[in-house]
Order: sequence, then C-alpha cells, then structure tokens
Amino acid sequence: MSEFGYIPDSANIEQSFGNNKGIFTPKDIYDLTRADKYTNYGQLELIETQTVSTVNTVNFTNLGDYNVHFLTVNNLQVAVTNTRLGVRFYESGVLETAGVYQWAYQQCLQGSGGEFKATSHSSIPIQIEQPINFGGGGYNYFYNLIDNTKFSFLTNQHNRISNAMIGEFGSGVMPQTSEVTGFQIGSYDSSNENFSLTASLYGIKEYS
Amino acid sequence: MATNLQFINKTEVTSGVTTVNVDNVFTDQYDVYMVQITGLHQNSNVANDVEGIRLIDNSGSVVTGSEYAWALLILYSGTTFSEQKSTSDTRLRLGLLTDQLSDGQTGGTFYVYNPNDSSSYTFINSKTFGMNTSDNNAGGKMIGVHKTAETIRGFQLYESNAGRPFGGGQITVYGVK
Repeated sequence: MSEFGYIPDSANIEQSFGNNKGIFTPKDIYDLTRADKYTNYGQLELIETQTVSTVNTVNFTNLGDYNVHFLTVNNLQVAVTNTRLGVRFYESGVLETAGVYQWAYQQCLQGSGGEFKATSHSSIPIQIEQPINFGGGGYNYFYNLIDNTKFSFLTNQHNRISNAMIGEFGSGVMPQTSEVTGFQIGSYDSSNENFSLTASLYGIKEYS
Repeated sequence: MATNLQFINKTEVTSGVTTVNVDNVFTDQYDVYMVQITGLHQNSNVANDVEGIRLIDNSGSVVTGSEYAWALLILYSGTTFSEQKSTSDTRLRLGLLTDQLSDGQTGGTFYVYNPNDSSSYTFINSKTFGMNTSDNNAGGKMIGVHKTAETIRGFQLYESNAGRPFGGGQITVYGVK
C-alpha cells in the first residue's frame, strides 16, 4: 500500500514534483502538497506584505523554509531627505547591529556615477538617500539566510529620484555562519529616521 | 494554471568537479528562464572566481567556440570596482568570486532569454554575489550573449583550472510564465 491512497492501482507508484501519476482525492492532494510531491506550479510564494507609515524600523521575522527570498519595496518615502535605509539580520532572534556587514554598490545617474563600498558596517544598504515624497522602489534577493553553515548574502537593485533618475545596484554579506531568522529594515546608520513603504517578502520554492 | 516561476530542475554540484552540466532544461515551454546558483564554493583554500558558464546546443554539445560576448562589472567592497568585457570569448563570465566554504561562497540569479528559438541569439543577464579571503564581498552584474542563432537546451557551469574544483553548491532552474 502506498503512503498515499491513489486511484487506481498505484500502490507502487513513486510520486514526485513534475511526475505525478494516478487519480487523486482532495486528501491525496493535501498530503502530497505537504510532502512537496504534488505538481503545483507557482514557485514564487508570498510570505508577507507589510505597509508601514512613519516608522523607524520594520521587521520580517517569518522566513519559512526557503533558501532564497525575494523582497520588493515600493512607494518608499522618508521624513528627512537623504535618509539611507539598510538591512540588519536577526541571528536566532538576536539583531546583529555590530560592524560586521560588507557591501558594494554602483550608482548610475545622469552625468556621473559612483562606487560605494564598506568592509565593516552596521547594516547593508538597500535603499539610499530617498528624498521626500518621490516614492522610490527596488528589489532584493536574499541567499542562504536560514542555512547556519553558510554566510548570508543579498543582492539589490533600486531606484530613487532627486533632480534626476538614479539607479543603484550591488550586493552585501554578513560573513557569519549563523541561522538568520529574520531581518529588519531601518536607517542605514544610527540616524533612526522615520519612513513609509510597502514591502513584500516572497520565498522561492525549490524541490530536491 | 498558476503563473510566475515554475520549477524545472535542481542540480547539486558535487565536490571535486570543474564542470557541471544542466542539460535539457530549456524547452519550448518558456521564452525566459530564471536560474539561481546558491552556496557555490571551492573544495580547497583557493580564493578566486569561477570561469563562468557555457551553453549546450540542441545536439547536447557544449558550445566551446569563441561565440560569446559579455560585459561585467565586479563590485568589490574593499577595492576599486572592475569593469571587464569581451566581444569574442569561450564562455560567459558571471563574476562568481568564491573560496572554500569556511571563507566564502558565491551564487546569484541569472535570466536566459530565447534559448529555444533557433532563429535568435540567446541573451543572459545576471546579478551575482560572492566572497573570498582575497577580495572580501564582491558582487557582479553581467550582460551577455551567445552570438549564434541556434537552439540552446542547457548550460554548463565551467571552471577551466583543474586546481580549482568545486566543493559544492546548488543550481535551480525555473521557467518564467
């Protein structure tokens, strides 16, 4: 008898994602889905959307069991021009605020650009110098957050506008082999400025 | 049918090899593919960057000729950024800087456009991350093209230096609906 009660004669059929055979009852589908063995396309899975207004931090503390996460940020507005936002990681529930983060960003703008980098900072910038009332946005990929054998990385691309459109992209790392259980978006430095935004966190589902 | 990302394949990078083929993943089901590399590292203390990727044609052969053009910006946390490019190369360089696992790893996301279209070039853009003891944190942003109009069915993760074999990692392919 198979672990799952397929119809018809399916006692010895091995089920897997992309390779399901037989006729399934709703309970079969439920059980197979929970076992990651039912083919159900749509591997960009929304974990949480947060819309916040006039706060100085926003936390994402549910990462699920995904190895790669995708974060979108839009309609970012700040209370003070040239506020820089950054990410800090929670390691087993404890926010890492020390100068352990490394990052590098390329700025692209009309007329000139620039390199921004650090090998010892208290956060990884994900959105820089967003002026008041222009509503910028961006996206980030996070890698290996929940894997306590690997460093935690992110890549980022975002836009902002002041007198001209500006794009920025880069990457950052917390070079510590710890289990990251969440992250906090807040001021890149100690300025602790208020901001408003809508941010959606997705997990990217994979299968063995 | 749900849309967005649709899982196709996951490949484990085994320790000790310098090439990993991810074959038969590009079909007529999608025009665009997203590929994610995670946890890629070397199996010894050799801080360097992985050569890149090469494509696999419709007959299953790895395209090894000088049929690739690419432009890459490597963003170093500890030193001046590096702009690199080629109009005729034997691989697409992604800027995958890595090391043994205790010192760093690399990965990222790249998109593949029109691989199954025999009348079109195959284009790729990537955004990568990495770290090793020589360079600290280093990201990469690349645009590239395979300058031959033919059907492409897969790709190969490629390192030419036998002294820098991979130690492990994963490669996951998704179709983009």
